[in-house]
Amino acid sequence: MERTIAVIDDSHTIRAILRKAVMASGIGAKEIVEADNGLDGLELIRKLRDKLDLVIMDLKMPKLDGVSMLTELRKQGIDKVPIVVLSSSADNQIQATCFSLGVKAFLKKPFSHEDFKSMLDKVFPR
Amino acid sequence: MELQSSLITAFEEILDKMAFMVFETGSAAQLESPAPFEYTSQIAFEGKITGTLNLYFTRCTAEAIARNLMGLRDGDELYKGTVEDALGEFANILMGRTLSLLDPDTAFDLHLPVTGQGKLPAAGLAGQTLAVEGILDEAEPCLMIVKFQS
Repeated sequence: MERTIAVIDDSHTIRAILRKAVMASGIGAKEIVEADNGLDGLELIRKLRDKLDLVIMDLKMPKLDGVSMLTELRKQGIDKVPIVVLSSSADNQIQATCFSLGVKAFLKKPFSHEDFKSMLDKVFPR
Repeated sequence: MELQSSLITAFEEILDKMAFMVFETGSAAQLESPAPFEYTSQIAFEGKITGTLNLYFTRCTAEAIARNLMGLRDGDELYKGTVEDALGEFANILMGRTLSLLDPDTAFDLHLPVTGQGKLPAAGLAGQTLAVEGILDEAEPCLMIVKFQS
């Protein structure tokens, strides 16, 4: 299966780490698209909503933070694409808010390739 | 968990999972000729405790962390900006994980990390200071200083 994955994070390093993890995961990524802030991320998802198989996003981002981005996606009825939130410091309340906004899973930093694969298994059960 | 044990646990986790390095606490004095610190990464945090984490790395460690985090091979060119960005993200993950181990039910605010070349003076609030010195991969010194108020 060929999949299109969006990576939305303001850190160049994290986007590189995620690209590497996606390619190594055997998920069958055909294309990885990226945005480095919440506003561009929102636009990217809106544009590719019928094509995206997975979104991996940060919470703390310039221009539009992650929770606002998720809220906006919900408002616009974009709720079919599985979304995974990447975080090192989200407290339980923020996690609950994200889940209520349709987030499928949290990937806690730091993560290994095995952690990344486990997250994918949750999102795409075999 | 206390701040010191949270910091060390988080540091070891990141090194193990993402940078593939081993850390042992101890003084750099045990090394024959320890390399100088050439990179400093700082990140401020606010919440139940407020302060700044200062991370000091040698050039060799800084470049190895950047390469390992980003999956670069030995022949791949490594730019100064890439190393600084990687160290900033390292500090961000480290402090986020430390605070989450310290108190998973409390929200903390992490500021944007700042990375510079050289050994910069430790930033942070006048109050308590926690210093953790250690050796990476049995060869390179590294130092973490947290200046904070609780």
